[in-house]
Amino acid sequence: MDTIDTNCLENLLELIGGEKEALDELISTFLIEGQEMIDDMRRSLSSQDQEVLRRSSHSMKSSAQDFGATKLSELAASLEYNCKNNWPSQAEQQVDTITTQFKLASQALTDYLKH
Amino acid sequence: MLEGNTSNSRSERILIVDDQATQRKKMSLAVTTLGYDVTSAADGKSALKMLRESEFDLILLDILMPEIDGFGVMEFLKKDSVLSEIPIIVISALDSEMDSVVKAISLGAQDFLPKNFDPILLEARINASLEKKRARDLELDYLSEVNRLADAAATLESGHIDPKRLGLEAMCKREDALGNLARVFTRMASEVYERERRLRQQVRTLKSLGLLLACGVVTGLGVVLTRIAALETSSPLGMVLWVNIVCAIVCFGNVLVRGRSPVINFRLIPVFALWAIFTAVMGEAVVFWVAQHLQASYISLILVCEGFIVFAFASIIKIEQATFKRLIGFLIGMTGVLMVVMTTQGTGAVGGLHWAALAMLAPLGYAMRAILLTLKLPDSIDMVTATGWSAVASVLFLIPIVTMRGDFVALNVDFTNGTGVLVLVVLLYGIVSATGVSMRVHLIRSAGAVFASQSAFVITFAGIAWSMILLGEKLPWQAWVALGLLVVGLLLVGPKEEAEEIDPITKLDHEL
Repeated sequence: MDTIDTNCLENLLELIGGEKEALDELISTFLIEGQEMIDDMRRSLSSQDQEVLRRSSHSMKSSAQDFGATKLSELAASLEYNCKNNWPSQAEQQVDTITTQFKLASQALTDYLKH
Repeated sequence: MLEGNTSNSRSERILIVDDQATQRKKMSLAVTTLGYDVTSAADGKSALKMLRESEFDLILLDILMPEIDGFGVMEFLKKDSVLSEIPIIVISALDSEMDSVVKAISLGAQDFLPKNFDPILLEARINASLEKKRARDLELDYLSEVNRLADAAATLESGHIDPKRLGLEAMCKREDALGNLARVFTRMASEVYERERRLRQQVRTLKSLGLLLACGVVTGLGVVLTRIAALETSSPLGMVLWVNIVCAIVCFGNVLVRGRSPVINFRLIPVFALWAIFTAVMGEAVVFWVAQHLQASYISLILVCEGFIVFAFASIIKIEQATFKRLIGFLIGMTGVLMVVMTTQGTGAVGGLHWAALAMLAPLGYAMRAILLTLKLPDSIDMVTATGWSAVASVLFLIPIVTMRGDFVALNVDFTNGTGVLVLVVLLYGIVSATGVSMRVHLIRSAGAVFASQSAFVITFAGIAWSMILLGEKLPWQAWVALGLLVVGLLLVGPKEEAEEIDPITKLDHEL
């Protein structure tokens, strides 16, 4: 299971006080908000809104890192970096990859929640 | 100072501002775990609203937010003198937001925290900021105390304020250097204040004394004029009526020339009616009456009793304190009065004792006027206006009595048959009365009834002096001894203590 680094989740659990329920709730929040970020990225593609794309990838980067979705975080960081100056040439491709990776991470986190 | 304590017992309130629900929730949980009281806001606008509504000790602020971002929040807080004191820790993803962190620090942020912070770093940063805030609060508290002390000094310098009322008591209890300064300041200020207060009282006493002398000299002349008139006519009430008419004309003429309004409140009518009875009937009419039988100097001696009577009244109604010393003075004075009354036997006046006893009504009337004016005459009324109305009241009182008794005195300006003297006496006495009474009203107000009644003292001396100069009267040695006793008695009764010069009467005024 390389989509999720469980060490990160252990650290997060310690950070928020060790309550499993709190972590569960936090993961649920991320699953909903993460989907909103993906939706924002998709919308920005049609409107070519560079700022929205940059901000949503920035947010995805930070949150994904917290939950140990290292691959997802790296992909988001790369997109954020590309958004810095001009509209990224590979924007659509990158968003697609991030979407796929988010789905994988979501699945992994949902599984983590269950056990 | 870093404390390893993570127990849930801290009282500091921390506000977390982040538009992302996941980040907000994570931080909120983490900071709550450290034991702080956490509130969170999802955007800059609601954060500012919360900051205005309640107190916070620390803000954890995200920079990248829609609408009002982290910088916007900071710029707003910077403008507010109270809110700008709340420390801010900026939350940022270091890799992409380094510029933002630099900008935030330059805007006044205390510190920054990476988004992926660990618990130890979080606690250390929060603790460090709160520690700074505590030190700053102490510093501000100290500064505000220093400012209060400076304000107190400015207040003292601008006016005559009792240092005890500056509210520095709490500061004086501090055990640090500031407390020391406050104590020294309060003590020195108290000393200066006391000295100034004594000086002001001395000035007031001196002023009152001058007025007292002037008032006595003028009023003493009245007694002599009365004696002159009494020898010319046998209608004392008729004379008093004329004198009061002139007095009223003089007073209202003065009031109108000064452009003041002579109108007074209707509710004061009883006060002026009493005033008229005390002065016109008990005072002036009686003096006119006895002046036909007693020398002016004797009447003057009897008038000195006013001082003792006012003191007696004031003691009874608790305006004044009846100390042992004053009581002795009162007794000595009374002995003097008794001697005056006894010596009248030897002056050849028919029934001298009887007339002297009757004459005592005059000082009694004047004393009652002094107490009446102290208690019932509002300070807002001009003294000359008051004198004028008292004369009008006297006239209204006297007209029916004079008419009934047929005491009306016709004033003849023809000087050849001798009655012309009366016109002069009436005119002069009217002016003397207007001046003397106005001064008396002013004196009672500024120095108190008891002190004002000491003018009886001066009236007596002035009366005797005027009698000797104008009428060529002479006093037997017994009368001089009696005068000596009166002087000693009055000195012992004395003017009011300086400290209680104003306060007891003001207090009484509030009670009435």
